[in-house]
Amino acid sequence: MLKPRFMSLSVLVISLLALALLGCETQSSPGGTSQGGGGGDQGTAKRGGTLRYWATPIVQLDPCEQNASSSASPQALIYGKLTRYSNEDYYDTRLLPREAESWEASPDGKKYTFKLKKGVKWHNLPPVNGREFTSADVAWNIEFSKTCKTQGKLYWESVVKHEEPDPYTIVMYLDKPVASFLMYTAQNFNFILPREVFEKDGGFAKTVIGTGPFMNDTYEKDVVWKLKRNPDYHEISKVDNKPLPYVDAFEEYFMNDPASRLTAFRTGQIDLWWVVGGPTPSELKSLTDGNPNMIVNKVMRATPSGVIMSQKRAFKDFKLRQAISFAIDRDKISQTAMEGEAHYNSMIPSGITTYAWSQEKIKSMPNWQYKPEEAKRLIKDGGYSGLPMKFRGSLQVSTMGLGEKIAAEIICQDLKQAGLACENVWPDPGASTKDSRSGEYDLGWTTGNANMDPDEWTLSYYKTGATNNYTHVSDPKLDEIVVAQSIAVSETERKKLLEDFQQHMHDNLYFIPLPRMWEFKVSQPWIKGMGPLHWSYTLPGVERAWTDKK
Amino acid sequence: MQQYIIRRLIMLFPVLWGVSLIVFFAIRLAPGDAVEAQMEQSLFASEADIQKLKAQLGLDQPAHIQYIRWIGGVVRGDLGYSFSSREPVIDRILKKAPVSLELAFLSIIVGVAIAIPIGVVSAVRQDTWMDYGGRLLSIGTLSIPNFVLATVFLVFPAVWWGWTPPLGYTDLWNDPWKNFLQILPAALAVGARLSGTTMRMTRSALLEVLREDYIRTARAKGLKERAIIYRHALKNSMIPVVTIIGGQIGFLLGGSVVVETIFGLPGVGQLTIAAIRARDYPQIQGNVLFMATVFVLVNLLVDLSYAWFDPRIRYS
Repeated sequence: MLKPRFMSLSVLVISLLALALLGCETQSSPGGTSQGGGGGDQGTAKRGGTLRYWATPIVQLDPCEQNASSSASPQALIYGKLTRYSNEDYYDTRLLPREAESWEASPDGKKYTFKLKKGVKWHNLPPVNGREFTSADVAWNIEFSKTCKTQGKLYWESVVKHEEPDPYTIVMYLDKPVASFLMYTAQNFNFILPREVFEKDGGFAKTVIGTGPFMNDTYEKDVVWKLKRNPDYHEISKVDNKPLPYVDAFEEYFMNDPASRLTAFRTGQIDLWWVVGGPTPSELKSLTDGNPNMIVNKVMRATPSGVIMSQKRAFKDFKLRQAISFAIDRDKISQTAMEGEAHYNSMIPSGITTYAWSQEKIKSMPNWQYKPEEAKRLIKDGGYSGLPMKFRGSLQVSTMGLGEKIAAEIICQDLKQAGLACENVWPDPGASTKDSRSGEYDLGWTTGNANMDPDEWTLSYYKTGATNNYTHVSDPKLDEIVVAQSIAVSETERKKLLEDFQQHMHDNLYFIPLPRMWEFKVSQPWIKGMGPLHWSYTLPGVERAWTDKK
Repeated sequence: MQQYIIRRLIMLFPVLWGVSLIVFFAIRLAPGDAVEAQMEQSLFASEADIQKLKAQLGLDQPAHIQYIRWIGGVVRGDLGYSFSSREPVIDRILKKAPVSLELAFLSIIVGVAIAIPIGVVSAVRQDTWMDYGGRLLSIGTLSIPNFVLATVFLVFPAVWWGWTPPLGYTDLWNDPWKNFLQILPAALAVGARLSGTTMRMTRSALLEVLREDYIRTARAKGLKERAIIYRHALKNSMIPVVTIIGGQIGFLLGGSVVVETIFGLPGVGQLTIAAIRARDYPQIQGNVLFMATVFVLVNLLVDLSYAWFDPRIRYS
């Protein structure tokens, strides 16, 4: 008699335990947020302390071999650049001096003269040993970068000749005007590397030396990268007239697991959550419930986001592309996959208001509407009923969040309802990149690097034959537009051409914009002085930040 | 006994050779290779760069030639170089292995510390609420996946007490206390799961032994119950328990991948996952050979330990 009763009781207890363990958290908008970003009176800058940050593990350290957002942050603090973005707000692209104090461009856009700051020194570590940074270093980097496998190649390939009339002046001659040339000097991944290290090691994977505000301290692969302040940094604080940075150390902890990141941030072990992507709305709620004083900024992502289709397959047919666009229910994606916190990101990141179409305009464009009945008709009339296709969750970038993965499944469901035989596939990033480059895929989600440079999302992605032309589109009119905007000397002319680019992309549906989750940038309340956010991977403002942590 | 040990050690070689064949060809069935994985972050690499890298890594050779070259190195003690980090594979394993071994060791201690006492009580107090409670606990720990347990042990202390393990793994010799705090929650998660199986095996093995004639004789002689259980019965019931634990060690070494990832412990499991993602063939092959070797050696030790538990067992 006892046993059956006990079994029933056991089932009840286990059920209750399971419920307690899994939790019953309901979804709601993240609460307890406060808009900050560093403006206003934050008190007097304090010296000392450590800033802690998390990132995913780095494969290797050589910026000439591989670029990744996880390595970019510490690298940007170690290595120098000629200029930097002013980061007055998230999408601010105005340039300020960094290792260069001034610059001048010729009217035809084919000659640039940079004057370097005097007294900038390389880190006092062998084999460079703290010598002065000169124009010869910039000259060496121009030629060296052309041999790299990364963005550095793109940035300097148009410089056909350079002269160094004195150690603090370099004159660069371009084979054609490059509208983004000055922006290149401030870009993610465009680091100035020391010649001596390459001569000693044959690369930059082992020895990390630059002219930046922080120096390499210790690097433990898959564990942590620790930097210490550079006592000889050239930028002086306007508050206490001493060299920046204020903090003694910057530490980047490598963390793969979302739960461990959340708990580390919640318990104050991590100070900044500024990686590309940010916490989801429900993760943010978990963070702010534990600490309502956290500083939260909500920004649009700095990457394009949408569906592209390989022009090597059936998607050459405009009607099929149109059907696919009409079949996708973007509101459902926004509410379901993005937890109601979404905006549109077209092929030009939406926050770049200088060039990108507004949210209202994107939502109103005729080819980007949800018309399921029209989609079914187009598919049926075109003879595409039952056409098999594989929707790739990611075409080249491995960091797809849960929201994007759910969205990919919703898209496939919508395509099935319209009459296509869609199947979700999730290839590994390496295999996916290979297929994207060869065009041997059907369709999928594309993003791109966070970049303010219009060439990244025009020339690199849509010019015939470009390395990153994953759509494999070959459209002479499009080529004409993207090339023209890349050499436009006048900003007015460039804006007009980028408007034409977006219109042409819409009219031909080479790209279907999708909702993308807002990006939340979160920092602990004791981090002061960082200034407003910036889209860059490279944590601008860290050298001006201090910590008030007791 | 010595001959038995030598025979078992000799048997290691055909086992490892079989493992090497399986792992070598199995990983090459997965789409993509190391070059493609690396090119994901080298967006401006030309076709010439790709071919040059393939040649440097030996991937331009047929698979059987790659195998012969690799196994030739293994025989000489050289496991090759990691494709992603360019470091010797054996160096990376030796650096990471202590973390996994420490986690496995602590997990077993936790598992045994939970399982044996509860298993004994469960057996001795059969069909009472203590027995039911013990069995419920064992089913619970077996039912809950270890990644759920690991997440619970990570998240709940953060929420309730504002505590998480210290960041940035520190090894045992640098800071033992910090190391202990970092490993303990992971060991609790893994050990709790291990305790489920061990508890059940302890209970059933002990129940069987308690029904033996010599136990009845010991009771008839007037021995105290505690002495009967701990001096006579428990030792004789340990053989199946030790077998279970021995089998778990191999599983722990290869199967703590998820727990290592959750707790940020840079062990062999995490190294293997990263190597698989990067299609780092030499690293994957080296890791698997290492785990297979440890597994076989641990099983040998388990078999040898039977002779200690039961003196009637002799190896000849």
